[in-house]
Amino acid sequence: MITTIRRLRHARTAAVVAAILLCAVGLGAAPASPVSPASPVSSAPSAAPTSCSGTYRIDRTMTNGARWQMCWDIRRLTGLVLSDITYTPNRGRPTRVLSSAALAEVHVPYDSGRPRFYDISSIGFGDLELGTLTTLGKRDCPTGELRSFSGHKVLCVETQPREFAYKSAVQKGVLHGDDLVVFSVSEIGWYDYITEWRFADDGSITPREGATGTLSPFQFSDAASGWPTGVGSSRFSENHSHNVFWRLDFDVNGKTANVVEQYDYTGSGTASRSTKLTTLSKETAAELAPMRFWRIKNPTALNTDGHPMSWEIDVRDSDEYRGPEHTEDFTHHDVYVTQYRECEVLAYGGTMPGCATSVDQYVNGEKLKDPVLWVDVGFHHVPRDEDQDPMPTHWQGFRILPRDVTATSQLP
Amino acid sequence: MAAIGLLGLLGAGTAGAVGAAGADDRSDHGRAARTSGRGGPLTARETARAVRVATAAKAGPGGAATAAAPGRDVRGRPGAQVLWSERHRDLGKSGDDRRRLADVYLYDYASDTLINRLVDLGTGRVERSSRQHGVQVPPTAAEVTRALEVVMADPRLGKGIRADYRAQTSKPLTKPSQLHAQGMAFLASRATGVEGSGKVARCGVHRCVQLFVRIPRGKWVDTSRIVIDLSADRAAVIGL
Ligand SMILES: [Cu+2]
Repeated sequence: MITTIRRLRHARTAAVVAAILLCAVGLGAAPASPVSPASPVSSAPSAAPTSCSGTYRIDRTMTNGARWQMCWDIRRLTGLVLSDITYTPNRGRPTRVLSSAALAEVHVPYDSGRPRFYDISSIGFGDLELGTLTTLGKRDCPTGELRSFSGHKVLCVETQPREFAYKSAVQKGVLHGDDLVVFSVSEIGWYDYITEWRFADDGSITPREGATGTLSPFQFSDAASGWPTGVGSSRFSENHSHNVFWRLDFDVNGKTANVVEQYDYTGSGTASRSTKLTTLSKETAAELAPMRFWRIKNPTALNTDGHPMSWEIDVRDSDEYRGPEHTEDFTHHDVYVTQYRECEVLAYGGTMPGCATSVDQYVNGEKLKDPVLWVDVGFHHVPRDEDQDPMPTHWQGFRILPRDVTATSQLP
Repeated sequence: MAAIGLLGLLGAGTAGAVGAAGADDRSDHGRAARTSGRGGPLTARETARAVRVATAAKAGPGGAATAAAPGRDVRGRPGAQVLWSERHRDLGKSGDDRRRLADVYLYDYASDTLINRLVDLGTGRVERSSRQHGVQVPPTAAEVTRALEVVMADPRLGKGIRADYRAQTSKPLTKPSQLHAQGMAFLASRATGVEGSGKVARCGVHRCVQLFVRIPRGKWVDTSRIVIDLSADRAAVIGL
């Protein structure tokens, strides 16, 4: 064991030296094109997903050469679960990103105080019998491929174009990109939720939830907590929130021993801004703030510049709902970082014995060895006349970006 | 839009109506699962085996007391209600997937107990078992059907829902399968400060549900103030 570690360390040192030499050569050579691709040099590249095959495996090489591989599954409560998510940059080598990723709650409290829905823990996104998991047809997935689960087509795997992967006057280049789009749909009461994951050919991931279907046909209030949707001002459709929680178990470059950092850029009313780095060594509940992001890094996996490979969490668009004390403490923060535990799957309403029931309680001072991230993005829905009927889809989500996974852009 | 009023009949509030688009696309439900690669869901055969093992439940490893519970299902018949079973996977350990494990969820209506059993499909043994009170997971189709039966059997509510159905379809409503329904676990805490909350005070300890009901190709039926206590076979209307 010790010998193995020594050998690895030795290999890393050698590789870093090699990388420096390559850089030096690169400086002398013109034109400057990226010399060495994305190969992580310090640890063996993580293997492609092995825990699934056939229809349960997604493997797509994009037009520019980048590749995404993953497994998918359906759970009764959380619906679509993606696992073993592996990214291979264009001209690079495979690197594992996430061990698993799924919804953890969709909380829908109405502005008068009730009703309050817990769509994952009280209804569940993955029941074929009750139809909370929707069977999809060709019209749902016009250019993609439908995948079946227990004999029902429930998943769409599609490639969609993305404008301007880059444009550069200097490089006289322009490239339009592709996204691998994976989604399922859950009919929950009068809403239809689209649970979508977009994997771009530049390595970025966009989890987002689309809310469509119909407005509640029964939830009406007054001018204080609703919007007039009937003729004149007699019928007020009640305002409410959709607070969507995601659970992300990162395995950066295939290793569970990840480090979570929070970056802030301080300064207000001054010309300068300066970096403030906070390393989260223990379980943490955090809030959104302007010029703030988090990243999950593998300190032992370096790109060819010698920088640790990491993935950045960017949350830019949330209504930051805060529910009542005691009963909805899980809504009191936007991002949670917890130590991995098998029984901690739901952000609220957990029923596993020997386990706390909500994400705020999972944060109890444990040291972070294998961190799990929880992201809450809220949307305050003030109904419009246009919402009836059918209701135009509203999307809410966030972004996961590679930060130093490759030493240079791998787009062209 | 015309109001459709199960609760309108009870004078309990506004009832909107919305056309529900699309056909009921659950027609192929029940078809046996096919194996189409590793990492997939339990097949029909695996599901049957998992449920058989979980409900027969011999002693687990370490001598855990997992004797078959006498138990009652949602209709009061012998044996605990099977909620659902799904492939168990420790999501943190993606490598070790050779063993086929199943999580089986049961609910014993006789003792109001949620039972969770982890079954090794290879050995046919219960690896882990837990029993909990006061904890509720979402209702399943069998329970939603039972909840509709309770509503239909209620003198006031049954009359209302049959009138709604006839008004829309010109046909009699005789069985729950004529309706499209989903269910939601309901806890007493969700009725805090609500008129009539005393009527649902046992929900949580009892297994209670609320329903979303629509008439296929038709309108929604307002069940938003109805709470069905499946442990007591009773429906209550509260001021939600
Ligand atoms: Cu809404």
